[in-house]
Amino acid sequence: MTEKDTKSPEPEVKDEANAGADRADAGEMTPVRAGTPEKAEADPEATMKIEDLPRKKSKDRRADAPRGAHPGPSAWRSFVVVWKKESAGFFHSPVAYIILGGFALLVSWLFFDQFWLRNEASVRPLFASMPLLFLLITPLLTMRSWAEERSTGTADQLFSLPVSLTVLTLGKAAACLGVLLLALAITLPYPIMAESLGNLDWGPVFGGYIAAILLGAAYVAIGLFLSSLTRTQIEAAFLTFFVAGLLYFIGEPFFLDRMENPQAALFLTRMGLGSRFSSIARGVLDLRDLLYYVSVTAFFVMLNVAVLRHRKWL
Amino acid sequence: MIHVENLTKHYGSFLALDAVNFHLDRGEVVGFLGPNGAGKTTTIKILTCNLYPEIGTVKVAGFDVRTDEIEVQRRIGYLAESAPLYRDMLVREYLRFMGEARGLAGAGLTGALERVAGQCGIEKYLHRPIGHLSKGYRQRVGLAQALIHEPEVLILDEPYTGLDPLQIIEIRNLVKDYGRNHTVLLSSHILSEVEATCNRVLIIHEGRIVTDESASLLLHQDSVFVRIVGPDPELLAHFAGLGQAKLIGSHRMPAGEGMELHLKPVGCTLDELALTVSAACREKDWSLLYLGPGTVTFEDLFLQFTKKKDVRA
Repeated sequence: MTEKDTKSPEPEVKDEANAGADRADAGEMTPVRAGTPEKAEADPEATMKIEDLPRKKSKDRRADAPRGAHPGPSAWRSFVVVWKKESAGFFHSPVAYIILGGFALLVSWLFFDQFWLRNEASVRPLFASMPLLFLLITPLLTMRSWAEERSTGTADQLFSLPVSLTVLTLGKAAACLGVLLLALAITLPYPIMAESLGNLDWGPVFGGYIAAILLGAAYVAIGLFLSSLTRTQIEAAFLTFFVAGLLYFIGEPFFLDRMENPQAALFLTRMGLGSRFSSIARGVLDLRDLLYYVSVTAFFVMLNVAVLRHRKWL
Repeated sequence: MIHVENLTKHYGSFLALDAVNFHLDRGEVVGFLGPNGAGKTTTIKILTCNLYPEIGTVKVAGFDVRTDEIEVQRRIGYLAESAPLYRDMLVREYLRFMGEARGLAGAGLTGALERVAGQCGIEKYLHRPIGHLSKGYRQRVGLAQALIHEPEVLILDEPYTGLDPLQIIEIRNLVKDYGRNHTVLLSSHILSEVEATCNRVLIIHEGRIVTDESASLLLHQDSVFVRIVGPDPELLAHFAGLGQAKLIGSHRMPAGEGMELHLKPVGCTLDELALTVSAACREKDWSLLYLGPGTVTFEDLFLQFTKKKDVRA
């Protein structure tokens, strides 16, 4: 998911860089080409002078070049740099530790509560609670991403860097998703434990992890986008909780059961963030479900970039 | 290096920049002066690709800020107003991030980091969290970040706020030095700082450039400064109506201490004007307490130019 998203803008930005370099080269060359041939025929003395001039000029420029512009990082390098900075940001403050700690506590409580009760080697309860758990922790991860940059003014500094808005957004998204992956890593002992106690079907386990990653990416994209709209972290967190929650609940049975129009219900099931989660978590990998999550994520990432770009026009 | 042509920008219905034109070459340190809300930060935000120009062309190092954003960003170093930094990060970590984001890596990055840390006097603070630093040191870290990739164009928004006099002198020298081979645009409303750092001054007022002149030219306006004791209204009327001079300023001193007048010669030399003034005093029996070359401070200029605009409007 992340890989796919992050790699796609690379060629585009690289092209930009190349185009820029070409242009710079062209700028360096043109005076020499344009100046010499015409004048050469007219007057040999003038040729000397004019030839000397541009040559000197281009020499000057060449001498300046290393000082002036560094080749600039590729989009991929920029992405890694932003991702590193954002990830480090999580672990500089207690935020990530608190979130991960809270998550670990909740997960173990939910898991063991069900595990002994059901008396079977299955980790289904682990993944059943994942959409809600992620809904709780994702807003806390994404809330500061843009809102804090804007309120402290560091955004001004960030947007002056030679990094495209898409790469900045993807870098931030990847860092948030990274923390969610860590959270998932915390749960790895449970299937291993279940395996040691009985015969575990690993299909749903892999499915569950894939579904959780996909859903997490969608939540992160929503949260990041909403963080770009707000100035305070609290606003961003609540808004994310509300919007992502809404998108999740519209596909859930307790809501749909009250619907009278079956077609509308079916539509909402398809749109809901959570309904496809359970089918992937059962171990059924359907391309349409994957596409759904990928498109939701891509949609909100693009909205996010559009908001940032639009703000430059204000 | 910086080329701004017919730059116009609205915030809603508020006209923030009104057809601004200016051009900066390499080796220039240019002060960007103006009262708060005059359009300094807006212009700087456009130069640093934080805002797009609405109308007009803006080129930095030959690249258009609209079509070659990344190329522009590669060539600028920018210190935003009040040096916004990530308070959680260590100084070293922050500088590494800003350097890496601009394409530095490996030994080049380490070397650049050491260089700017030395230049800005923050070697001892590299392992401290930025949030623990004083305002002055945070400002230095901000400057170090702007210099780490040796940008062709350095843009500083209010770099002197919050610094003590000693720090101001250090930073001033650093900026002056850097400006010898690069281009520096620094905004300020502290006039004396601009005077001490810059060789050219742009004054912006209500979104328009009202002055674009070399600092020395602005300061050495030929004028005569006199202090005369005499009946105020008559004195004023006499010098205001003088054909040889233009009265560019007057100040009434406490009772009995006379009046200060600032005269600019019109169609004559300073010496001739001085003679005219002393002759007038003898003739009218006023006492001439002081007569000397006029010194123009930046404050005077500032008022002079911003007022002029008001009158025109």
